[in-house]
Amino acid sequence: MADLKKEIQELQQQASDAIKAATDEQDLSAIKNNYLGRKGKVTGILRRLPELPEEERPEIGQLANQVKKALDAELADALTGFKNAPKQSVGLDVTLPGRFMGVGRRHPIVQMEKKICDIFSGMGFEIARGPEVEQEYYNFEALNFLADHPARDMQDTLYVHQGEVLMRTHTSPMQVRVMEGRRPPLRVICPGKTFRADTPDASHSPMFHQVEGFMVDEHISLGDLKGVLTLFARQLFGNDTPVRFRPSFFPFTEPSAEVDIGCLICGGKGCRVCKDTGWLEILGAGMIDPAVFGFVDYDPEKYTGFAFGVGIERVTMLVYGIDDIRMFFENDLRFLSQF
Amino acid sequence: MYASYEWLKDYIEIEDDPIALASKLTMAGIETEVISQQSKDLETVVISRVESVEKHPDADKLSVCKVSDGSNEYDVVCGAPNVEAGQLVALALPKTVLPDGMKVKKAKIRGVKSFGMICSEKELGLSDDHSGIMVLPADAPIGAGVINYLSGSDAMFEVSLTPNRPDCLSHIGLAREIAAIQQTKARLPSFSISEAAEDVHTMATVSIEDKDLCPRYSARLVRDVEIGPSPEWLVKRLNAVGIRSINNVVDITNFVLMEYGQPLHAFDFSRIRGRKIIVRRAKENEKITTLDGQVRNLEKDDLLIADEGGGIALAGIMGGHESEVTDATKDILIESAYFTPSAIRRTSKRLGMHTEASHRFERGVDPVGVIAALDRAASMMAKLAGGKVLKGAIDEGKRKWEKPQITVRTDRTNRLLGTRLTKSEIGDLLRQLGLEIISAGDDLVCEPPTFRVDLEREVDIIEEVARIYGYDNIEATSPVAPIAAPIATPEDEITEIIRNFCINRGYYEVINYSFESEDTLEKLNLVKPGKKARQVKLLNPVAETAGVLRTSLIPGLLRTLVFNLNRQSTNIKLFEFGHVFSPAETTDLLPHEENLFGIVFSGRRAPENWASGDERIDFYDMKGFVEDLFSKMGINAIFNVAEGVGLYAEGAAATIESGKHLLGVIGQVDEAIADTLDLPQRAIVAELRMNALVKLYGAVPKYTPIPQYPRSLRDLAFVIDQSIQASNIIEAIEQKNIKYLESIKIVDLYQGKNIPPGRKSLALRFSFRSTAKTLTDAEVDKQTDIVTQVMESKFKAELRK
Repeated sequence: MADLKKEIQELQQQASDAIKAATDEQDLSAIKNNYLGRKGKVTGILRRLPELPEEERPEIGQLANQVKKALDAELADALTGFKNAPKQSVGLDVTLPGRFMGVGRRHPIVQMEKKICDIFSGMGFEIARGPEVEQEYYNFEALNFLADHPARDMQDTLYVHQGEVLMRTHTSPMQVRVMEGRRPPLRVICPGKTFRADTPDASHSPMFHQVEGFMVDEHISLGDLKGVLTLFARQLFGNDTPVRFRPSFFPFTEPSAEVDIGCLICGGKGCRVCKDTGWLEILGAGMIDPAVFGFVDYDPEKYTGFAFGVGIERVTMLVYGIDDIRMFFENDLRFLSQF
Repeated sequence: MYASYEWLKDYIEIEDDPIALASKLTMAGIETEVISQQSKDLETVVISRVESVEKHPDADKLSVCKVSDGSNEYDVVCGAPNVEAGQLVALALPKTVLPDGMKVKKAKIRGVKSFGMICSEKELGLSDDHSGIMVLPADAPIGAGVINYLSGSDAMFEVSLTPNRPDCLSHIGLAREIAAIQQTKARLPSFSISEAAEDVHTMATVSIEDKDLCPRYSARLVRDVEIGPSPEWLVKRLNAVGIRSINNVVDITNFVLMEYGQPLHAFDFSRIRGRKIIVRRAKENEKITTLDGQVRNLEKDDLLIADEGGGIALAGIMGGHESEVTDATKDILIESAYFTPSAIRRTSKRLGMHTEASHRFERGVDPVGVIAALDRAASMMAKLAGGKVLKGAIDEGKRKWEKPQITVRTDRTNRLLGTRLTKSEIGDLLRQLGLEIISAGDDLVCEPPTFRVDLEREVDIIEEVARIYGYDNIEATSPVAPIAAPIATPEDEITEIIRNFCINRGYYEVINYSFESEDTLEKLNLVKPGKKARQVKLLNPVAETAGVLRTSLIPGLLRTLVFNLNRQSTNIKLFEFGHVFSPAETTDLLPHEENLFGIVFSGRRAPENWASGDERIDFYDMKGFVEDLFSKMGINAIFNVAEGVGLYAEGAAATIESGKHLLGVIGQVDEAIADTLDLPQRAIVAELRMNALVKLYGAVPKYTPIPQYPRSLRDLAFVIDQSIQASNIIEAIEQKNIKYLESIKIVDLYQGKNIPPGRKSLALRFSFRSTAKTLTDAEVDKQTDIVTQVMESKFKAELRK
């Protein structure tokens, strides 16, 4: 019995030493297994209890249980010690840049086009797109641009066949194309590329982008035009943006208007960008001319409507402070990555 | 058109200062800008006296001047070569903002303090003279504002008129408009003519042969004029609107042009052969030398002012060289006519001659106003050139000019404008504009004045009501419309999917011009030699390099690639959406347009970074991109070897197909072509057809149940001939319909050590799965044996152990 007692005490000593020598949680769990586990050495002694003479059993059993408890406590302490001990560093320099792939961008013109389209989609306008090479009929005639009239000088035209096929000078032909095939009520916007016979310089480009829009129904008024386009301008440029409408002329609208917003650069005080007027022109608009309705066979007595056209480059240049329209088509990544 | 504030005041009391006036006109649709009111902007540029000039101690070309404005003396450093003591100069004091935007500041120039700047004429925006500082006359008042001294308090306006308002192309026209805005009245100039006893009709005749092109032609004869300089007031008036003084007679015609808006022409009467003006169409190929010395070749639609000997003026556009007024001219025939706008426009446009006269005639002058302008000019020639005005005026085509009578309905007006105006309010607004209300029964009937050539229909009148009522006074309303939830077209939807897919992978969207140079296709080998390119040509391109419409996005993408490589970008991935064009099919009027999606990769695979290697993009990056994209879009496509597409390197191009649809091409740019583009490195391009993608796009995926049982993987490596393509192998195995085979992946490609030359090792990973049970090893091995057999028999493959 003394041997057994001794053995137990030695086991305790061994286990205790091992716990002290343990360097991590894994060691501890191995020790626990080794001594206190199902096949552990201390457990083994407890298992052998039935083999002992009955009178020895309580003492040995008690001793073994004490040792087990004591080791459990030691293990628990050691575990807590490990848990609280400062952890070993993995050693990464987390300030090194990550394995990035870079972020791409939509072209700024496409971004602005989407912004404009989204605003009008929100107001129930659908999107229609059309050909970039257009018939003279849709680009001019059906929009009430009379032949031999100076109004045609407002738009220098690139021709494919003289007087018949041309690069559309605006997205307005889509007004006629859409109305021709459908009846009011209509709410449509038509974004796209447009072309003029302009040599490129800081403010001219032979190719640019417009969003044309129009709304036709039985009771659409100039007041409605003001309402819708004011809402649009404020959505695009901010809720407090001053908006003004002033009379203008387009062959396919009457009355016609140009829409200005308070200068984004100087806030209306007057600067070089707004030429000291405090205002920036952002779009042209007007009530669709009865002559246009004539071309698509709508009764101008029954239907009225407004139309408008936004120059995307112009608006984008104003918003971002870009001073050269050619930047958009040069596609310098150092430019594109800014938007 | 330029207009002068002071000049306008001859015809109307103006309530506002120039800036407020410009703003009111603008808000009435007459876009007006004050372009120089420098007396206000440049108040701090004062007339000063240079008291002394010394050399700058530290700079050869600079002087240090002491300059006095009468109350203070300043040290000013000046770089002009012509500065001298005793001069009166224009001194810009600190804080002055010069017309070019430069702000004058107190500064130290090479160690010497400078309090302001002595200006040149150019710096003050007065002229282009920048040869030295502006030196003012000795009697200029020291301390006064320079600009005020030079030009008084006048302001110059730039008026941008829309083509429907020719009536405002004059000071009287603008005064009428101001009167309507102010609700006051404009006054016409008052003058008288003392006529000689001799009647003009005994001296000269006018015959209009083509009344369609020239409805009215009037003329007066002024004899014994003395050609000489104009009086100062006249020079000043003309200068104020940017017109140079020539001599009294020419200046008078220009003055009346800018006053009434009626272009006049002064002929040297002695040069008119037969003393007869004939207004006729030109003969085919008839020639005339115009005032500018150019010989003009005419056509029979051109209107010509002729005498018995031939053309003496190009009607409504420019006078003829032969009948020009010279210093020796004694007798002047003044022409004041009304020409048909479209006729003048045709000729001026064809000849590329845009003049002050043609600008007005092609928009429409007042047919009734020709006589007033004619009389005004005659009266001035008598007064300022000592001429004798013959009695009477020739007036061919004189008649009562019909004015349109236009009905304006009150309810229509209010419905279109969204206003609640009464009939009498509308009537008042129209009267303010000089329209005559001839009936105010149920509806108003009005008659516009003859100078308002733009008013013909009810809607024209409604616009006038809105304009003068003020757009600002029309309430912004919200239209009543049914709820609508517009959905994007399939093409727009797919465009957005692809665009977002590209951006999320770090690619940049570009927009290139739709134009190309004509030889691009050949240069890029996109047409076969000897074959004509099918391109849409422009008749009037802006540049020779932009003569045709693009047939592919690739040339533009490659140019943009080179552009950015030259600007030190190293990792370039660009994409573009855009239309390409090909000539119309026989029955179509318009060329064929197709929307494409193009993409180009070049350079590093990943942005430069410590953790990413220096690997370069190759064909498989692009192919993988396309495969990922198709997988996202639910499109199954196969890649077939593309041959004979000259743009691409041999053996590095594929067509992308799905069923009968050609979706696009993908390939590595051929080296020789890269050289012609100055492209120094490998570039991979792909071009996809949007309409095919739209057709194949699987918008709503079909659900398949997730497998219940595990898969078994088997890797088999085969040594095969170099020439055998991966797709051949996959196809052959798939044809066998091997049981439980779920997928095949190519996991390794190896050539080199341990592999015989001309052979390659391809490692395939087979995944087997049953939907009904877990497969045993034996079941799977049975299937892989089939694979090995196929490989051995079909491809002489050798299984690597």
